[in-house]
Amino acid sequence: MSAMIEIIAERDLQGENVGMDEFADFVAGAMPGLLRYGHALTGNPHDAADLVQGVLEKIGSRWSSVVRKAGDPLAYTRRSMANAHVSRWRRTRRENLVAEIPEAPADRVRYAFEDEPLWQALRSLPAKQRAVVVLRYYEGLSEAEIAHTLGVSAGTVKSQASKAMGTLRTRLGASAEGR
Amino acid sequence: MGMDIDDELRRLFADERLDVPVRPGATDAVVTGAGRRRKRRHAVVAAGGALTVAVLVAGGVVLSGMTNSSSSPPGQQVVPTMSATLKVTTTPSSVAVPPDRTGSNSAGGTAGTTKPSTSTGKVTTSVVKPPAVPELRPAGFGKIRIGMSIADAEATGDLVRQDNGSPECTNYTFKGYPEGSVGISATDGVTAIFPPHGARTPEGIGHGSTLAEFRTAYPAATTDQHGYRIVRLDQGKVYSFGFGGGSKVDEVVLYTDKQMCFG
Repeated sequence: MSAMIEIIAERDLQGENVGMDEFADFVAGAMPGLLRYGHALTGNPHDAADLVQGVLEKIGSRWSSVVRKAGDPLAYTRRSMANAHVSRWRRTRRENLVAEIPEAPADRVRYAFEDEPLWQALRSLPAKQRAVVVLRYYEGLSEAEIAHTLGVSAGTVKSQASKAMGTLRTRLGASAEGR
Repeated sequence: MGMDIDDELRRLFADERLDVPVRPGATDAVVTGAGRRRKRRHAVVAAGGALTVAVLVAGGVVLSGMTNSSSSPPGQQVVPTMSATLKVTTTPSSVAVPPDRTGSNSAGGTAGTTKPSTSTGKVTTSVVKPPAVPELRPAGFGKIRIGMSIADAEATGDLVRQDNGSPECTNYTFKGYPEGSVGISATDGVTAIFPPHGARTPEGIGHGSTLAEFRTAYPAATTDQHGYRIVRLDQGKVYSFGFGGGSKVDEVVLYTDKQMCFG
């Protein structure tokens, strides 16, 4: 119990810093999943790292209000990432501090993924279409949820999804025949 | 072919190779970054008054964790990154001179050299403006014009191609202004320009402009679904200003309705 009292006293003393400890815990736990999700969204690990870092920093700078208002910070973070990525494609390449991106392309097993026809097809989609696909098949969101997340109408989601799927089918068909 | 694309997509997204390894120290980096943003915001709020000149100077040059010499995955070129995110708040009595971490990067050459602060007067001014940045006009920015073909835009010598983007939007940064970027479509030419921070529209609005200044300059602006303020120009072009949830412009874009770079 005395430990608890100490923690409370500490909390009173440090105020905002305690919130940052919580934020640090959140970041540490969420980072692998967020990077993976970012990879799916952006199509490459560099942009994933960049997106995750930028969004998390923003969230961390308003951590207490995010926790208060958003309820589930992880869901909020993922929504923010989808939105940040779609509403603006890469603006500024920033320092990558969060992801350890293999330096050697000789890591063939890993980067054979880059050669997956479906992955390549997905990467070629415009950001918004790709986000719709990722939210649908990675996140498992419904059309209405996707519309809400991206701040667009359900009709837009439908049309973007259908364009995206059409492109993916065409590209995959072409690459299959080319073999 | 009987491939079920839904299943294929689920399989792809479950692939463990989608993992991106977390870098040691990642959490600390994010927490530090968040703290910096919060402080910056507080500093801006505290400074508040009209007398405060918040000047963005390229001074704090931070190098990418990925060194330029490192190899990167096939088809991806690691770009030397330089983020100039430094705010100098000029106050009457003292001026914070940022530690000049040059020598760390010379790419782009926007980092203005910091003059030694001469303390002859009461106010020590060590704010050095980078070379004059062109205006962002409805036609474009500098030599880069909306609608210009990829070939013409590349021929200006002002752009550096980035590895990311899509066929509808190849992404470039400005040589000399790594924080700006340009999206070019193969069919429609230049469709989006994110000018560097120093750029202003002819009406005087740019990064750091307040909401009040913005409203005075563009009383007829509207707000789009993402919350960006839109100023309609001719031929389907717009200026878009983002306030990032704050009270000052933190993003400026000139784009056409043909752009496929973002939503």
